[in-house]
Amino acid sequence: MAGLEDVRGFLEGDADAFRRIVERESPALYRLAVWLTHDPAAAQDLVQEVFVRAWRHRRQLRTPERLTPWLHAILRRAHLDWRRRGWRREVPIADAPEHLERLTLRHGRVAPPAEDQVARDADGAALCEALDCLSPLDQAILALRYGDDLAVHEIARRLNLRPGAVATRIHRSLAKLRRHLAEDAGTGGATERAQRRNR
Amino acid sequence: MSSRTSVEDRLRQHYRSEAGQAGYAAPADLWAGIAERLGLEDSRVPTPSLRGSANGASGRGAAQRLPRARRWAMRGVAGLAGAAVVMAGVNHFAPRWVIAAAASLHGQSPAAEGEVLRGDPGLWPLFQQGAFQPVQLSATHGGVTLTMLDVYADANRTVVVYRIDGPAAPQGTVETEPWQVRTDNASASADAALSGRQPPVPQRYRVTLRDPFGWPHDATEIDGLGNLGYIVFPPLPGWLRTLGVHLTLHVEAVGDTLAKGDPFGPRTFRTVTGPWDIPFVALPAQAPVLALNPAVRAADGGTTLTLTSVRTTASGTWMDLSADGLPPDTSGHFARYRVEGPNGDTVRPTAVARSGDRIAAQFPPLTRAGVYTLVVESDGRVWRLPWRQPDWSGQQPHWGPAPTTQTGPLAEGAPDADIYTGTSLVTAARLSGLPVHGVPAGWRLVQVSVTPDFRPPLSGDRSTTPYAVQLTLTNAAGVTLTVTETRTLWSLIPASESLAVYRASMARASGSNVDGPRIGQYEGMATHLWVVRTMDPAHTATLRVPVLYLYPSWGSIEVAPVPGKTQGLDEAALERLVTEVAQAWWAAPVIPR
Repeated sequence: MAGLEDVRGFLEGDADAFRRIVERESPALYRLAVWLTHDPAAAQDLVQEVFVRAWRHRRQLRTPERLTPWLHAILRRAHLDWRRRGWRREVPIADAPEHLERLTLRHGRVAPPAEDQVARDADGAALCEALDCLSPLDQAILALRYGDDLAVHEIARRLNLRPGAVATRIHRSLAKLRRHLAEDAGTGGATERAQRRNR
Repeated sequence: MSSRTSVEDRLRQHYRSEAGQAGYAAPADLWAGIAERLGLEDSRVPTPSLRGSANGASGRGAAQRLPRARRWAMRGVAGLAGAAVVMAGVNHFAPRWVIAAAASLHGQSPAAEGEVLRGDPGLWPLFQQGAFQPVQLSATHGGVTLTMLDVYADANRTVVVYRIDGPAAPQGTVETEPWQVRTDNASASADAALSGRQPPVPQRYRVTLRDPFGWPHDATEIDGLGNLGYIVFPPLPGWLRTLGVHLTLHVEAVGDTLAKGDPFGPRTFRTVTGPWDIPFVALPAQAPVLALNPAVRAADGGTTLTLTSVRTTASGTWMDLSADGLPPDTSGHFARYRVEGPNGDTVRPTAVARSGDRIAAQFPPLTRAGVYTLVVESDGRVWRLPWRQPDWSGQQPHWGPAPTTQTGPLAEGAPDADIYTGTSLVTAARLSGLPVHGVPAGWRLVQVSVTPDFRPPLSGDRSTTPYAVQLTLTNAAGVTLTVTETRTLWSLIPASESLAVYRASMARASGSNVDGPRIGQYEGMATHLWVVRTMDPAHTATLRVPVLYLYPSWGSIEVAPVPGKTQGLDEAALERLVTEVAQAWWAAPVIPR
């Protein structure tokens, strides 16, 4: 968490303080953005957008101690905007190679896959699809819980939720994922889809 | 538990994998991108609020300095106010979007209300199909309730169906004309002038439909049967018909006519002034319009007629003509109009109005494809104005099942005013509720019909059936006459005039086509025998036709020869004939229902 002096400086328009806040807060935000978008480039854009919005609307931060939850809230809104704009679907022809590269990054593969790699890709693809069925907030909660290994109360603090609500959402999200993955395994759909993508 | 652990482990592995691929640290150029977008070159940048203060406190800066709760309160109030304005605007100018469910009410009016529309060949089928929107809103003034029953609107007209419920006739009087919308007090003035009394100050009463912008549109036609009637207004703009529209029916006066003592006694005109204002939401059914501008001309006798427009909706076809070279002293209805259709059929107009050199003619809806010809005839001159019309039956609205009648086919364009036409006296008796007698000996029944008659019954009992029954009889010689019975007052005397006033008016007239009545008695009933001068159907000779009325306690019976079917019988012979038939009719047994 950024020091309170830096936050106060940020609120007063101190660019140096702001830069220090960016350096301290961006890793966690970036990781979360990657987990939400499955796309490092998009995650970088999102985090950049978060800090741009934060600077422009810094007067809205009434309590310096709540900078981190405030930034996470901005990230969630930016993520929603990103989903609404369908960034993942709008791929100009000129950007197609880059987009393909992002897809390979998402599924952790660049070279033609070995058989065991196909299986891992299939597993990752199935999980990604299952995660996409969750709400953005639930995705963020799971990412902080299992990606950053944060405790429930810390997730609640960052996302400005009650701990009970976080626990409930984790429970329900896991149930949804299990159901989705079980159905997918039953049909073998994810493996087939992954193999088709890898051909 | 194992599957739960598995999912959680897979999640951890997945997140670790993605973070590993992307790198746990944020990209090194993140700050550069942010600084570039924000233009952060200096180490210290004034905050928006400080900048606002330095520049004289812009509105935005001032707003940002407000406490957060107050800002949100202000936003909330502004949002609510904006939403209220939008909702009010939408509700006022586009009620269809607000009350869409009301559209489903089309076609749920009681059928009896539509009887008043039977005389209009365009509106009656529409009412049967459920194209009218029930309204059922009332306003009361001076003990008189005006109820708006239904509304219909298309590109040719806006029609309001109404009912008036007023106080019953005082004791010792008979209501001869029902409660109806009054547009002036001319009836009272004419009666006063004929009876030698001081006429009242001339007064006009307005009947309008006020649109959402407050503009009143005067009625162009008021028609009705009894206390049921309909008012026709000019068409609403198309976009208002589409959105639905808030309208207000405004009626300034209503009245009825009373006869003192007996049905032919002195008249009293009861007038109650309101106004009655009934605001309502009209949600007209979607009704397409076929608008043509034929601009076809025809000249005859120095007068050129131009058919400028033909506008067809489900309720009728409206034609506009212009006349050049019409003498200034030309009478209002200087010509007869008809339309010859694609199949050679002929359609007569339902109304014609002329204002200067502009003529407007209304016809039943002409919806077939093909070539139509408007034929105008006057004093031997003929104007033929043809136009071609496309097939647009696919655009015709379908509100409900096609209207069904119990009648045989009638000529196209003729108002289907009868609810029954046939040869079954039992059916006629059942439908009308009247005491229908059998056919007199020596006569053959050609046809019997049942027609609505919503005028006040002479008994004063308004629950009785508002129908008239007419039999057409013919004898071996081919003489044809009609026998008509009804519970209301049928006479050659207008309902608004007493017998004394009518006689006085005939005496003052230079020439009258009516002689009589010769008053008599038969079987305890009063009888009136009139002689009517008329032309034979070929317009070649003048006929004197006797018409006999009998007044039983429950209503009226009229016996009258059919002009052109008198087979050369003179007035005296016809008088004997109608008298004999009336007596035989009355003596014949009543048909069981």
